[in-house]
Amino acid sequence: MVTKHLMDDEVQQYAVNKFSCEKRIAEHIHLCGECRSKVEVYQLLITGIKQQPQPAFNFDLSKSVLQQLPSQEAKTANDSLLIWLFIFTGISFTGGGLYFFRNYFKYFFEGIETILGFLIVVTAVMVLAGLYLDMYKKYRKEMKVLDMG
Amino acid sequence: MQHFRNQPVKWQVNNITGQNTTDRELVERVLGGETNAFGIIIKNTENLVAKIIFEMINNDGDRKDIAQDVYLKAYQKLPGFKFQSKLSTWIGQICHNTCIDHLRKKKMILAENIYEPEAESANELLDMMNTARGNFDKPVDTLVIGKNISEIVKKKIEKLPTIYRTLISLYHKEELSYDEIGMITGLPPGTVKSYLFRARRELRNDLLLHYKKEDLW
Repeated sequence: MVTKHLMDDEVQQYAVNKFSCEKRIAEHIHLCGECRSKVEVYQLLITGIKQQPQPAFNFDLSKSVLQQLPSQEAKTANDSLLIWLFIFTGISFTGGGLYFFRNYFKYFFEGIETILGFLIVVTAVMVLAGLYLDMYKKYRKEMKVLDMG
Repeated sequence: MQHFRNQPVKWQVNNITGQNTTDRELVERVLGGETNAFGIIIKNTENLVAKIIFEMINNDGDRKDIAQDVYLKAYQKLPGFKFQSKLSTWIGQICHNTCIDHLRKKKMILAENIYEPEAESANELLDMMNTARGNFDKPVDTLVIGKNISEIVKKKIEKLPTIYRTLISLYHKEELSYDEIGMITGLPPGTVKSYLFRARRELRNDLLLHYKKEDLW
């Protein structure tokens, strides 16, 4: 036999979601007119809240934000220029080095078998390419952050 | 205790293409340089951002600036997003913080003390409840009859402190869980729940102070 009325929190809990309530609360509300009356006011209140119109911006938010983002084309063009500059500088230094030290290179691979020499060169190229790609990915990520700063 | 009302939504419907797209997929596309994917993120989260901004900021011009600022910040911080929450919750958090910063700059926050709504003492609450109960005996001609409940509630909500308004909107209109609201507002889920109880109680008492229960139907 229920003798005490429910606490306000319990009434609210039932009004918000009666299925998540303890059985005791549901049973009390079923039997007690006063608590049921409180539940009804809360349910009416929640209905009123849900009926409020959805606020909306009076302008195209997506369009105005996208217009303010840094242009991808311009960035890509700058990136390409930088990459070609790196490649050109790399080739120049490597070519220059090979030309100036050509006399030393004549004797550099003496005594090494052809297949071994080939493997060394391929490994070196693969490692350098991997390092370059990793560096470029990091660079792109950091530039993205800096561009917005 | 499980605070989630619904299962976490893993898939979001792309408003533009109608396809299902995960948060991760969208973020990766944006980070890959596809700015249109960021447009999809904006469309998917715009309602939540509008709800927060409209509850916290009164001025229309400020609302526009803040909404844009929120998404520019989100774009800037996107490489650091760790997928520890839904993308919408993360953007909601940025939005709430941006609104708080704005209010602090305008020194509007101290006046209202939005993080510490004054706790009613037991006696004050009892008085309010008694007054409210007494209204059941008021003559009908002193009360507004037949008024749309939505209009009545709207006026009462406007009188609530900012944090209560925001929580009511996020919980009842956006249907977020206590945990998600906690992430957005920076409040512990228990505090969110307790503030929501207080907010609803204030609304109910305010309603009963002015209207007979029967007139609300």
